[in-house]
Amino acid sequence: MFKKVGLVVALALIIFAFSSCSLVFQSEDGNLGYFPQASGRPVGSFSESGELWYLISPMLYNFNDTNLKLDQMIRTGLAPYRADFAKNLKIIEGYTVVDLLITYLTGGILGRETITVEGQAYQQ
Amino acid sequence: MNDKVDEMKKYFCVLLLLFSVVISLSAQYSEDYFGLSLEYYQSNLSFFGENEWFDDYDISFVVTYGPSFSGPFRFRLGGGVHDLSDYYVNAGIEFKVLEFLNAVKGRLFGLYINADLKMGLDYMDASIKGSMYIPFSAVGGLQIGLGINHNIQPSLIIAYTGGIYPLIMTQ
Repeated sequence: MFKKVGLVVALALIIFAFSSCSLVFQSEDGNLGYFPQASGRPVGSFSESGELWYLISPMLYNFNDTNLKLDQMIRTGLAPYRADFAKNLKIIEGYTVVDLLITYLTGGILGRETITVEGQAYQQ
Repeated sequence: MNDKVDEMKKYFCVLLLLFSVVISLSAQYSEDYFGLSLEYYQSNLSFFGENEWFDDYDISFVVTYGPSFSGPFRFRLGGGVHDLSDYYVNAGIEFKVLEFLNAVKGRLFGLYINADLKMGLDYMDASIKGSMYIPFSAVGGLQIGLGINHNIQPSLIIAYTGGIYPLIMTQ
């Protein structure tokens, strides 16, 4: 009996552990790439954030697919510099205090988290 | 013998998976903890006789703040109502005995000791409780614990809590 309970608890812990870190991140236009040899001059850095609204879990159902539209955030970050491409991209997923309030007060049924893309803008 | 080895393998895999999640944390999160808690507290708990669940009970809403400098100690401040008639202010300290975080810096599992003082015009209670946190989402879960109050009466606490090290926006 205790073994079964232990295994169920362990399984639940794993599900909980991965429930918030298995999101797919990609671009809508298919142009999210990695080109370490691309040459240009750095013109600044950017940090753009987007909200991801979801039901129960971002993997189960999310309303705005922010995680699949990283290119929009990158383009927005590049625009002020009139930059051509970005390097050193960093994608961060988490909850702000407001995200916590929304998710907590709805009992986790309706949730919101924040996705941030940071990087350096380059001009060719 | 083989059963025991298989069992140990399973637990080792579980620990490895949990560890891999914990070490994948980003440096972009605040070092200050922020939490919310809606608590049901039943004092005068009886382990052998029948309990009157809605007699001598408190319902509180507490905000927990754990600045980085306070280490495993977090500060609790809130308010509530005793037996739906006496209002009080609640202040206390939470001691983090054991805590695992998930990838978004919410809590994955935790063991805590809470010391609380509740003071109202017609009600006062001081208690110390040990509790365990079980998550049901990335940021929220259930906290269940047992304790003792200033009248040396056993008490039970059940709380719906949420808490994170929030993401810092760098615009």
